[in-house]
Amino acid sequence: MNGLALTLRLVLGGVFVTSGWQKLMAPLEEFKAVIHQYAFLPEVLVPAVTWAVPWIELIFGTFLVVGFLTRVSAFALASFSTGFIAVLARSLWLGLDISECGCFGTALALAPREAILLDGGLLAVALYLIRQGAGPISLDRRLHS
Amino acid sequence: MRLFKRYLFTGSGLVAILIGLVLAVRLAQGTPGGEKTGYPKRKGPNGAPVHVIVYSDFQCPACAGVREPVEILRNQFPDSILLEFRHFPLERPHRWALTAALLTECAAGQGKFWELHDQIYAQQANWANEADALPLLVGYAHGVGLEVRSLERCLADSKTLAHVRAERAAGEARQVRSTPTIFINSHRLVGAPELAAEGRKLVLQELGRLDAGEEAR
Repeated sequence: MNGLALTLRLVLGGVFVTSGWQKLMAPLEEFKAVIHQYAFLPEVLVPAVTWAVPWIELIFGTFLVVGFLTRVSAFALASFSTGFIAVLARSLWLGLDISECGCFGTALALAPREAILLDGGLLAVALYLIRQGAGPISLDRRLHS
Repeated sequence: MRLFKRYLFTGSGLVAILIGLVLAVRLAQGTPGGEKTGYPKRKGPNGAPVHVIVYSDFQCPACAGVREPVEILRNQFPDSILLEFRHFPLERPHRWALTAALLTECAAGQGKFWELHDQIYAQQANWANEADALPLLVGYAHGVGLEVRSLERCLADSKTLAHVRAERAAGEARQVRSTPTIFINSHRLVGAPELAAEGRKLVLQELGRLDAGEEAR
């Protein structure tokens, strides 16, 4: 079971590190356009969200990979996954014309339905890690020793 | 307390490393490279103070949608905007994007770029999903009056492909990642809704900035 926690930490952390990194390496306007296409945020919040989301993904993703603040990081990423699912489901419900979710910059093109499935899987993994903790080879374990 | 300090120190260190890494890689990505382009594909007064560059793909639906806000902007500032089209064909998702780019590049060589540009975008729904869109695209080229022999020569000329590739490379050097990406002087906008929402404000901002600069002199 401990090996499973380590593997899932690397998978979940790796996905969010990739997602955050791709967004941070692209001009900010790319992600701003993605947020606008979902039309769910008041305009005044768009710049802050555009800036914050990639950093939060990268930081908590890295924390999970190295097993630092594992439960807090898993909770943060579970919240993100839930939020993404809600926004994606809303776009499908409203019939918004979105062919590509924009989740991974230009690295991976996923349709909103595919992205919901992915986020559902990530949410399940995050919930498991909240319950299970870091497992072996983690900073948490080292800091507590 | 000791554990809290350990966590604080480790967390701050990790965040600092990440910030440093992101900044270092972004700096290493460098500044925009050369601005090599093919035949000029411009509309508007040459000395216009605002240069609007549209990186676009002929098969991308969002690119067809950017024409309207671009024309609204041009109509609002007819003497102030020089509009320029640059090829950015996304060949993987759009099978006919490169073919359309080559045809329009050849049209530019014959001075008929905008006619074919408008026609190809206007007809996009009719050819974009065809298994073989070539006859339709060539038909549009003939329809706008391109000279057939010159067109064939131009399509066979490796320079035409080189022009298109150079424009795409120039876009990549400016970190264009998706289409349409629009530059209003140095300001970047991605997508037609962004241009519709922000374009006028940015043009006014640029004109104001230039006026202020002239007054200061």
